[in-house]
Amino acid sequence: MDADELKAQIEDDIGDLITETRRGRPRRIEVVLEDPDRIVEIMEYLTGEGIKHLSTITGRDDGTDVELLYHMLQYGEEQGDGDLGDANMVTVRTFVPKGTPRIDSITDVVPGAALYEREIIDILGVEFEGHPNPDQLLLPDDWGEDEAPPLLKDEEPDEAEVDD
Amino acid sequence: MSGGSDERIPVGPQHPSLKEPANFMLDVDGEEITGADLTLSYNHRGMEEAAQRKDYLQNIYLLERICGICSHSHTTAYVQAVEELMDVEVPDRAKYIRTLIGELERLHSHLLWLGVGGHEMGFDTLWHYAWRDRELVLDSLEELTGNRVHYAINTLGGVREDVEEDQFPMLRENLEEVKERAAYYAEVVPEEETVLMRCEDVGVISRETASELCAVGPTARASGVPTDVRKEDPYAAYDQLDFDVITHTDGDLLARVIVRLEEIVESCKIVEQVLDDMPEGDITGANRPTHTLSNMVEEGEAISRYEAPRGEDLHYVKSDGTDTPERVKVRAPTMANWPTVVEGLKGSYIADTPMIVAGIDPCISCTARIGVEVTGDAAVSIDGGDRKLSLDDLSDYAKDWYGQEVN
Repeated sequence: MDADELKAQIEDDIGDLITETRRGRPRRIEVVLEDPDRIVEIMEYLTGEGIKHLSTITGRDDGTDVELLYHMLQYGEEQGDGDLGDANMVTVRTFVPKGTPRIDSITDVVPGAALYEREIIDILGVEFEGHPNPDQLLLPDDWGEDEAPPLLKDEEPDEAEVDD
Repeated sequence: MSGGSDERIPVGPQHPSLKEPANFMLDVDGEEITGADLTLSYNHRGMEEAAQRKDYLQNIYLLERICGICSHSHTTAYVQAVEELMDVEVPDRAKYIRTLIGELERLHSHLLWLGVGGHEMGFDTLWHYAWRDRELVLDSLEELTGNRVHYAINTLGGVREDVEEDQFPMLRENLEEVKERAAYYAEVVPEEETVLMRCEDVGVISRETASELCAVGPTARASGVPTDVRKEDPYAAYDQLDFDVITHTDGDLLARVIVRLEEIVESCKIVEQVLDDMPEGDITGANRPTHTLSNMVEEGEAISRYEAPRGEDLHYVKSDGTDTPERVKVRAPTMANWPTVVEGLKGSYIADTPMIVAGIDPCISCTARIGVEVTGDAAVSIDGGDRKLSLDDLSDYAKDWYGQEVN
């Protein structure tokens, strides 16, 4: 199934979950999930359709929200004629408000999400509800609990810290 | 993730067999590991934050330093994303040169791993052999780029340096020798008693587990998961080249050894094709002065994937129309493979820990080396004085130091 057909199928199947579907370069599809509370639902659908490899989760502070991108991938061998090149990447885009950044953990559906969610907890302070082990992963042990997550853009670092 | 016993032992972050700071807390029952937890927070370098403060061109050199082994993987993944935002077409010759450097990088990385693997399993002869052969690949990279590890070949829109026909004989000669050695290892290593004792049925990851944990690269392929970005999402010149994706079904350490050995053979095949088919033409598609390239980047975002020696490397770049990125996100392959280590440790013996950790080829940056100019002219000072040595002098000096015969 090529990306256009897959896009049409996704729109048919879960049109009520998503507000927008886009095609980028070959083999890329992007869907926008309006309601972040339904992240587990959309992940269950995608994994059920064989789009089950999570490459990573990208997090970004866009000023008012934290934008989360879940990069999901098919295995080409499991598609049509088994050619590895039949693998499409589906990126799910959703937003959680910066004031109360929380979303359900998808680790029950995609166990490989565990470390990526912990990374987002560290760097952007998003709470992943239901994560089996939400401990600090990447930041140093002496990173203070009251310090803001480093990739939130609220505070500019001290001039002295900027080393150009 | 605790098991049936109360005993917990720490391995790392400082440990004789682990060269980078990672910590594993092992739950053990006697000699058997029943559960494991992982701590990585010892050396966060803040590169994603730093990338937001450099322009697109400067970031190539910053991101190249994410890794001292797969430096070309990171720059290629990054420049591919930025090129998509610049809407610039990379010429074929540049794509072939990127492929050439990329496969040489895979060769030296896999040979490096073979040495590390040999060392961890107590087979130091293999270690020395593999690292000697790796020098042939590093010499080739040095000939082509002037550098052994940070090749700095990529730029926005293409590559910085052309390759010359008169470099090819040396490359082919080195490649021929590596090919011969690779065939020898592929035949001998999987049958060798030490290798079998340390690797067979150890740290087994089933296909289902590897897929659930979203493993990548040789780690995933050794468990039978057919994934390879070079085929899934061809970049550079890979859609023009003929090569196989190596998979294995056993999922144990031995399978991870075999997959990498056979990938060395495949990489040699790719390098040969690249040298045979190297197209003529420009090496960059951006016809502007280099220092203005960062200004060409349009507002938008791009996701770029690259098959690094350790697996899928993903870069996400978001631009806001200025000359510095709004966000650069990097997911290096080792991050994706850590969960399989935790899984592989369960049910194994404590003594297998170093080899299971090494089994995913965790990325270790260790590239310190004295500088030698490619021309072989004076560049090295011994004793901090004026005594300058050429490459040949340096080689003789080393042999003399170790009491070997000087040619």
